[in-house]
Amino acid sequence: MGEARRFTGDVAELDLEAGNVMQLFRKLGERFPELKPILEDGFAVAIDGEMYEDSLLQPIKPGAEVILIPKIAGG
Amino acid sequence: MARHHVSTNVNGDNVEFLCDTEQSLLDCLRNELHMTGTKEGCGTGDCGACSVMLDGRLVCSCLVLGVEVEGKEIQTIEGMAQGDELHPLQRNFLDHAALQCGICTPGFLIAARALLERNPDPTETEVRFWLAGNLCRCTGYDKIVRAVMDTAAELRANA
Amino acid sequence: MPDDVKSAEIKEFKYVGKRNVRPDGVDKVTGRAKYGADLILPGMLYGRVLRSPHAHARIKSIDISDALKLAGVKAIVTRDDFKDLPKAQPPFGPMIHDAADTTRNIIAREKALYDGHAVAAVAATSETIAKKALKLIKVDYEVLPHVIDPVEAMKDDAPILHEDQFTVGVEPKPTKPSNVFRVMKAEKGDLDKGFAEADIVIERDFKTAAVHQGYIEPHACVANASEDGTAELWCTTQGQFNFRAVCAAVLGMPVGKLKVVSSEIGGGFGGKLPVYGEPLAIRLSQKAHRPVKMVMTRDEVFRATGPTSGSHVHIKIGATKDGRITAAEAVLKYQAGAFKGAGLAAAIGCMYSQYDLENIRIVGYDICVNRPKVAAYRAPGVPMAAFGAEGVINEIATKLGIDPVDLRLKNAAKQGSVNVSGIKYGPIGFIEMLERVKAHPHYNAALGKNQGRGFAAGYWMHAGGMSCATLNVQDDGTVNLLEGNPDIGGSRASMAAMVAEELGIPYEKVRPMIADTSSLGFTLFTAGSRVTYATGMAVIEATRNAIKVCCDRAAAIWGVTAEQVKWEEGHAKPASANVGDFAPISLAELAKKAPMMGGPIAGHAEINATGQGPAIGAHLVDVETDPETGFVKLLRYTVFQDVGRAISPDYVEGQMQGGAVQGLGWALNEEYIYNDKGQLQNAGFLDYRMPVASDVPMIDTVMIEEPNPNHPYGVRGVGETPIVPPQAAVINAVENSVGVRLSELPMSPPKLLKAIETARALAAE
Repeated sequence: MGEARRFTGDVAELDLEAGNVMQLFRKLGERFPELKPILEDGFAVAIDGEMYEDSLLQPIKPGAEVILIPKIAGG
Repeated sequence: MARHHVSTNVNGDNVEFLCDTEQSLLDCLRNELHMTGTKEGCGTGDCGACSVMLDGRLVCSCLVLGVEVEGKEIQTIEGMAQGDELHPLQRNFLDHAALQCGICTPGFLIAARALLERNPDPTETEVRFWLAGNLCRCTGYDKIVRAVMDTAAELRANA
Repeated sequence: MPDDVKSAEIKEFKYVGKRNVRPDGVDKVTGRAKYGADLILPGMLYGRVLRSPHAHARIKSIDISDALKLAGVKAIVTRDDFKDLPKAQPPFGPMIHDAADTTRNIIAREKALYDGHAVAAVAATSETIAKKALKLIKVDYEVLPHVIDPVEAMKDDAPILHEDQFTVGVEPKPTKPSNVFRVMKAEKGDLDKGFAEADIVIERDFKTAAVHQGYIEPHACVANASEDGTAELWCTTQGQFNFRAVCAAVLGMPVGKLKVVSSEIGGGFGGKLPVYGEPLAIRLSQKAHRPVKMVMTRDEVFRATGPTSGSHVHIKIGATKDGRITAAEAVLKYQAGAFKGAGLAAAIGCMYSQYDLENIRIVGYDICVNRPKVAAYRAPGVPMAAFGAEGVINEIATKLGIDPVDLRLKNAAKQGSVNVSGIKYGPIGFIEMLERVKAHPHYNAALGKNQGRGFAAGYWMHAGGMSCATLNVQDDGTVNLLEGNPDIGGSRASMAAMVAEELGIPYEKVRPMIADTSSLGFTLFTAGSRVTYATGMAVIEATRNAIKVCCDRAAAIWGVTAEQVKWEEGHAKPASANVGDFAPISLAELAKKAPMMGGPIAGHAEINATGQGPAIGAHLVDVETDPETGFVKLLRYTVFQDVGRAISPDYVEGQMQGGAVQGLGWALNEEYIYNDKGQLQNAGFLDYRMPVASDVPMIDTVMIEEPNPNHPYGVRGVGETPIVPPQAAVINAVENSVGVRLSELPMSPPKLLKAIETARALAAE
């Protein structure tokens, strides 16, 4: 997703192994250090199209497609 | 500067308070008499949240000075229900869900009662124009107008 | 009466879906309910704030010595009373807390950044003395050039608000500071290919003005600090837990030492999510050792609290000749106000999301200008973008000779559609809604001279988040429910209905209360259309946990296992005939016996709700335009919305009607007017013209119920969507009434009249 791409040197897609959102964030943070501090506070994830926000322990099945989405809230 | 002593009548009770020259009636009701049912939305007479009856006339209490009400009769929202019985307007506002946050509701109730006392059979347009001095930001006015019209019909039927 | 559409699967409930009178209602119609300014404490002082009269100025010094000497002044605070805090990582919307920005917004540090920016605050024994004290505070300002328009603020020679702000999201990394905090992008598919496939491409520019949420109750609080280092804050707020976190951070207090109690709230719409005077009141109370009440005047609300962003919006959309949209592009330039954080993430995620599109690109600029920092306003960031997008889509429909609703049908998102953010939709009711629009009597009603009809759709996605709930059964069989969301729109009625439904007891026996921060676990604010959804889920889970306790008790009484007991119609009953011939036991009986059977009966839940989904709406409006004056009369208005399941139809309708009328004010009259010194000229309700009862007709509502499978009762958030379509719908209606299309909001009479006269002159040539 556009926002995260800034920090990944324009890498838009990659394959990672992660059992849950927290592990995914940790691996992304190791790979792209500039992304690390803003992942937990700034992003929600869509796992196979379903949105999860503030759900670090949400499991990710093997082969799932995960997209990073900036958190939005309302008014 | 010494404060002024004011004797007045609120909702049928004789009361007294002290106030500064520049204090509004709204300020005196809320901060001197501790009657917080009348609300301040703007302080400049534009929103109607502070509506009260003064000697039988609908006014914005933020535009009246405390010293002006010496010897006068004031009616506020606190006096609208009669004992345990809500005024039909109060009851219809609840039944019609004519309030969301409720901050404008006391002002609307006072204003609507003043309307129905003068005009027991208003059209929708007359209701809307009479209430144009009361701002509501939550409801879009639909349910408020319905509540007032239904109350008018109910009062006419029971008259 | 509204015209509801129910899906076949929805069953009839006893309380859910009915028009129940709200439990807090009587106190609101009698004036008994206590709002932020209604608390009076013994020994209370009155706080007032000194505000910058300059739009942009360096603050060289602040001299409070004369003010301190005034009899009755008990404490004064300035920037020296608050520590500087570290910058947070880039926030994405107007609601994410950046400590450094917040510290500077509640009281200016290096600079005053807008007319109305707080510079000092005084606590005194009366309002009169506090106001006098403000006049004795001497501030040495070095006035700087200012900028209030976002496009002007992007220019190379624009005055810079923050010398340490370098635009994020551009390569190579900039070396010069900028007013542009960030550039955000989102893309899907291949935009160029999409435009190449189009038979018609329309490109337009739009402009909207900043508008305020316009809640009738100004910000108000009473702070009461104790010598033991704790403090209590009573305030009108959309989120007592969020306020606690932010105030504690700004004050340098541990969160556990601050207790925040929410009063009844007189409107919020997003504007009571940020803190303003609250940390000042707490600090003053700490210094004065007395409670401090701080209430904003209406003038201060306009000058110093967040409106929504004004914007420049550029839209380019391509479609085939049979109406299929092949490419959708947008460039959004939003005012963030004095500090970063305009609602771009939401705009990007929502503006085209009611459609199933392959090729999308949206770029957004978050731009600082010398105005108050923006705050959320119902679907923050989306209405301006939707105004442009729906406007161009309506224009495409006209040019192709396709009915505007049919054009939406050709592109409507449905179950399985994927939007620009990569979210795949579950079941949604947009197509059903569009068909209901066409079948509605409003759609085909006759129109007269200078009358026109307009249509627009809108998308918002409601939030989930943390909610806690605790249910305690009293020994008389009534139930106290503690939940954590200030009630803006009647949510207590919905909570009571869900509890009563689950328990099978009368609605009147449920007493919902809003807990303070000491009495309940963290509950996310009342915003994001989340309360009936997320807090509803917590309340239902807490109730089901209490029911488990009841069934365990009944099982023990009968000497059977818990699996052999069911809960039905307010009673524990044997799960089947073979369990035994036991008479049902009511909740009241169990409650009465509870002291002797293990203690009081309760249930609680602490959740982080997920599974939120789209909330889509569509509006129809008829207007009559007076070509001699530019006055637009609203004749008829119908709001269609997919509400999932309406727990309290009265209050769901209320959200639809209220949001629509706010959108109408946004479209027709509301705007911030500044002079050439950057000072706000219309900081009051007379000249900031919001709709009154005589401006609008009845607002008809059609609730489409396509249940959200992730909520036990199918709830979708409903509060925010209704503000998204009205602007485009009204502009469309005006165009159809007098043939003039405006692309700038508000469409106030002078502007419309000028456009009509220009068009008339051109036609005459």
